Amino acid sequence: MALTTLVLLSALSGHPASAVPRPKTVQMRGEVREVSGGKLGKSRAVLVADDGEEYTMHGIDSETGEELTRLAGVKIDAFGLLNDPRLPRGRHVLVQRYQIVDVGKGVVPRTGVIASVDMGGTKRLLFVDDDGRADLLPEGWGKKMNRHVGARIWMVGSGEGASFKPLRFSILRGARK
Amino acid sequence: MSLFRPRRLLLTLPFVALTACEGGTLGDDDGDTDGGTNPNCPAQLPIVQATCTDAACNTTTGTKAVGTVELSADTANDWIVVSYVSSVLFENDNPNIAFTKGTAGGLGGQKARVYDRPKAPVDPARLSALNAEKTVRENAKGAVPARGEVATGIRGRDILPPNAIRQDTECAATAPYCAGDSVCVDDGQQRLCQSMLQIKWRDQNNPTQFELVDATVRKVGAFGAIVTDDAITVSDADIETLSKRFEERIAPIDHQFFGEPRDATGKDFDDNGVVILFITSRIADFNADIVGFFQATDLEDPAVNDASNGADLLYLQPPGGAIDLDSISGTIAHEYEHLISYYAKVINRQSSPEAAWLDEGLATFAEDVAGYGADSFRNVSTYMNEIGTTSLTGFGLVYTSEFEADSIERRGMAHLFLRFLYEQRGGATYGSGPADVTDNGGIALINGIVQSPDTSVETITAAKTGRSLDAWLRDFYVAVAIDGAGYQDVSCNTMASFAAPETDAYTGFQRGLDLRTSISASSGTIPFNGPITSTFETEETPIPSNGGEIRTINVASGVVTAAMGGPAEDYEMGILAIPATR
Repeated sequence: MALTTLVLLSALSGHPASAVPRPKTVQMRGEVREVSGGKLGKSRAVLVADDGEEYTMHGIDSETGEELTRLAGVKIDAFGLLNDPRLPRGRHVLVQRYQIVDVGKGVVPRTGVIASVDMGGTKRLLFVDDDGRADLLPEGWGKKMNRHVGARIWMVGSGEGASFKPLRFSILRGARK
Repeated sequence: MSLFRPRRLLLTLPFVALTACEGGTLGDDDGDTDGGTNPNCPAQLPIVQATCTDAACNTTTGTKAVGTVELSADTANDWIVVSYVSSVLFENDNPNIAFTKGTAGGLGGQKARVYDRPKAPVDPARLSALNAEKTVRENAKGAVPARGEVATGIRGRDILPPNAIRQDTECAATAPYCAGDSVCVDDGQQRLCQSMLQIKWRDQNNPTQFELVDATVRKVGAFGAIVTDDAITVSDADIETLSKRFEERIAPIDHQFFGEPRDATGKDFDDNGVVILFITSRIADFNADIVGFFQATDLEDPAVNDASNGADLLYLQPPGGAIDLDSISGTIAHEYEHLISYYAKVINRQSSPEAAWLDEGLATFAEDVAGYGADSFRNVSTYMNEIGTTSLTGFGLVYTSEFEADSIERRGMAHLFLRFLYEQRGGATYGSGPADVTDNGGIALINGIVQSPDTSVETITAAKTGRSLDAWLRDFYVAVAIDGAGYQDVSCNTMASFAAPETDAYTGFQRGLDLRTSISASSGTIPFNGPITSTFETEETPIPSNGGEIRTINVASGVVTAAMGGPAEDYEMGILAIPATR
């Protein structure tokens, strides 16, 4: 009887069943899927890590959260916290920042915002990346893309400045209304 | 400045070489070269289509030139230029496309494009209804349908005094499940025929919350049971009309086109043999403009999600005000397709729910083929304003999220695209009976899309539909450009236009569309003046993946060239020109 009690106490002290796991800083690479589920039924972004494990991603702020759900099909490096007490237990990661590493065929895009500039009375659009580099977008973008000034996008292109040649892009976050 | 200045090694196809039987290859990869039955119409379209056989045109990195088309004034002064971009891999990207307009002696210079007319405004009530349906869809996303035997979440009401003995009838497991106007309710303990129910109403603004609504079974048919909220009054005549339309028209046609909402063993979810059409004014408390909806969470186990009704269930507003029996009928055809699709993909094939663009396209197409298509035609009318910014599969150039992208115009495009596939595969012949429809090949194609374990663009492959997605898109844009326009030797071609609309013998409404003939509907005129076009100019501009543009060129004299180039990787693109002589 005494031995049983000792074993039980030992087990409890060594591996407390109700212990809350400590937050852990993580960096993980994987492909993003937009899925949804649960009783609330809200869309959420899931990172399918390279090791096959799946993690539900939560943005550190609403803007990051908004962007994560638009990354479906894209491969990213996510930097954040596992076991953050604000999140449900299990495979949930609080993403503090992320980096796109592949938008298909191993292509790494630049991320940034669409901006506008007055060039001698003519409004032109620019792509300003996260490093502050600004590239002029073609004149023909104006009519269709004016509404997206301020939107955050990823962009694949070549060249720079006035000779920048956009190839393809996708919007990560809409412009503030 | 031209970033993709096409080199002259591109093979250009002069129009003179493209007279009947030698020219364009519309629909070429399906083996169908029938230009229609009109003997005065060339068998093939006299289009000028760019092809490029040079190795440089097939580069897989950087940019590639698609080709150059030469438009001669000797052939026509007015031309329609169609360009499209398609990708199975990148369903939601926006490639940058370079267009170059030139003359025999040099480039045509850069000018701003000019549109042929301003966009028409969209009715705010339609936007409101759309957003409400999207909210319901969002709230029901990720529903996990129950497996195996589960009790329904619907309950019969105890209307007898305490301690009285219930005299309910036990349900038979075969049709008719219950006699009279009652439905079989399996509460987990017993299966009883009930005519007075309690149905859960989920608060769409707070989807974990629900309340129980007292409701009464009003009419039961072979396929559906009309149930009304006890808080409202719906006349017996309206109930009879809706039940009759559902039983003899809507359900049989939806079944034929899309399939039946049954599992592999032939049973429906709540094993009562009918879908419940629940008419309640509570919908108006959530949103007054939405006529009805299906929510996939009702196919979850109520023991797991207590807000689930665990039943085959569609929600509908009662008739009144702007909501008439015709709009309710169209909505039933629409929402019933969603239920059928959910069975086909999620319940029977453990696949993902259908992609929103295709699911909504099929559901609006269902309204059309059921003969209650007015609302769906309004979507197409709106799409005519947004050709160049709308993607069949992605966000397009206007919207920045999937929620927003499920727009009126994308629904219109998807509906029209599916109708084009259906018609090109032979369509169907409607007879005199309410659901007397003989498939000529079109229904089989649509049914194959729904009853496939694949979803989205994976259902539109050459193996499954006879043409690849990009070939379908190319032919679709040509049809949109010229349908009903009366262009000589062009608009007569059935391969490149939509079938003439028919008046439905059962409903009296129009089925099908002529993109340049407005429709007079009970809810007002639905304008159709063809797509908004703009002039073709030298410019670089984004075109959404699985999207395209319809533009015009006037060739006053000589020859004008139009060229296209864009990203090399995983995009199929094309440019072609059509003489627009009336």
